[in-house]
Amino acid sequence: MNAVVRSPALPVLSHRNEPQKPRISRLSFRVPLALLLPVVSLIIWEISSKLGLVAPHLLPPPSTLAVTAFALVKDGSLLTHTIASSGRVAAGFLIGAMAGLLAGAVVASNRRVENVFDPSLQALRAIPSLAWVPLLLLWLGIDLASKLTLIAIGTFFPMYLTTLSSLKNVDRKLVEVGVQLGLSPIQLLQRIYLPSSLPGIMTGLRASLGLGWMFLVAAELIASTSGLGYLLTDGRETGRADLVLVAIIALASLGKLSDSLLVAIERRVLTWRDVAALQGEQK
Amino acid sequence: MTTRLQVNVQHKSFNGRAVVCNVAFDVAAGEIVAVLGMSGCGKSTLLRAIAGLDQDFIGRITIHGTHNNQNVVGVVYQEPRLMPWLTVEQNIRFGLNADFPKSSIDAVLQEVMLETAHSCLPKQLSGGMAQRVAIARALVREPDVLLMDEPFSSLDVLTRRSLHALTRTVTDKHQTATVIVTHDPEEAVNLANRVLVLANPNTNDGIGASIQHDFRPAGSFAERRENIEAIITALNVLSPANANRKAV
Repeated sequence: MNAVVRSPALPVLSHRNEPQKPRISRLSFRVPLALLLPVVSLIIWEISSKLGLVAPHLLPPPSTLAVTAFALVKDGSLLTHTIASSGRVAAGFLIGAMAGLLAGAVVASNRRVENVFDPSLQALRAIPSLAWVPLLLLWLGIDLASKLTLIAIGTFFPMYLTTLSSLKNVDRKLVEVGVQLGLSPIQLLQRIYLPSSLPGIMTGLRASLGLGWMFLVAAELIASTSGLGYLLTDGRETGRADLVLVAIIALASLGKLSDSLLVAIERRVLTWRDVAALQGEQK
Repeated sequence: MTTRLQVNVQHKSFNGRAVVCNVAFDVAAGEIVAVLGMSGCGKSTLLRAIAGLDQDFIGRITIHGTHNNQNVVGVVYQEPRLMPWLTVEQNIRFGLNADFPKSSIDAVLQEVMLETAHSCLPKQLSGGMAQRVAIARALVREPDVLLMDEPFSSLDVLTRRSLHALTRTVTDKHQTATVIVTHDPEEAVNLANRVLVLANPNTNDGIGASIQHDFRPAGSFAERRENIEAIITALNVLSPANANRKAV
């Protein structure tokens, strides 16, 4: 009788020996899939417009949008508006997300602090975003400060909520290890709570950034002389749907680009996660 | 053999219910004491008290005659409890000063037979390997007392045997006073110098679990088999279900 003997003393690092699929093949598979729906939609849209099924002044065909976008790129105005909007989102997002992270960490650190601050913050969160606009215009005028504050308010709450929730859900057993090894409260925060909460914090950052773009448009629609929100207003006032649509496409592209950047950072900093991939998803 | 750890827990309750009552024993350097009992009888509670993780009890626990000091206690839990974002080496270094010598890390990794796994993440390790890292993390501090809370219960029989041998070796080599909590009579008899059976025969009396049997396993294979059978019989008799049945 043949017996199979395996020595427990010899570890087998199976993951390290798995052949890695070339990255280029993953991309070449993923990119066409992502483009499939937009391309088909554009073709249907173009044909419908050419056949007169939709009014071109309300929904100009993609070819017209391309011409408009090209003109805006050529005279440099699209770049100017994009830079103005991106700068506002970046600054507002940095202020709001960092404040949300800090507030979440402070509130999560102590039950009493949570009892004092959390109910008020949750009540403030329930205020619809546009309700802040008149007040901010009154207090801060129509310049940059009111726009940045509105974006910061919008990005603060998702960051605060996810940070609070992530820190409160840190595995008690890992904290116990830290306590047993003699870590101080600050060391526990730095070395266990924050790394453990990182997946949740990254999700919070993505949600915050998405809302940042949304609040940017709200801010620029109301009072602005530059930015993609201004382009939207300009298009509406001059009856140019093509301008509005180009601005919308630019906002969508910037939103997607900034989110992809965060996803790339997330993948890089969270390589340690041992998560199940969904069917059809590549790890 | 010099006494290293002295445990005397007179009363320990959990959520208002008495869990452990009048449990006293000593552990010498180089000795392994197994605390055996049914699930939920208070073994892990007792170990947490010894580890200093729970100081809400009546009694006294001393190491080298003084109150418990976390620096001289190494704990291995039922699960490896590794930090998933740290490599094996970083996990072993966890909580140590930055200037802790790498040679000591290498030595302890060699001791647990993981010298090639320095840079692996916990997700790349098998259950047995992860538990070895947890043992290495406890050992690298050269603890005077090593506490193990059902550390091998989720492992396969070969890995468990390998880790039993490792526990025996490090206890002898480092002269640690080792307390291992287990619900496996065979593990207790084969690994420990002394076995304490912890039980609360009547859960309705509100007193808590205490030591019902205290013996040193005999040397020969046949005698050890007898020990194991005796423990199983004792546990069966001492189980609350049986005790209550008798009372009825």
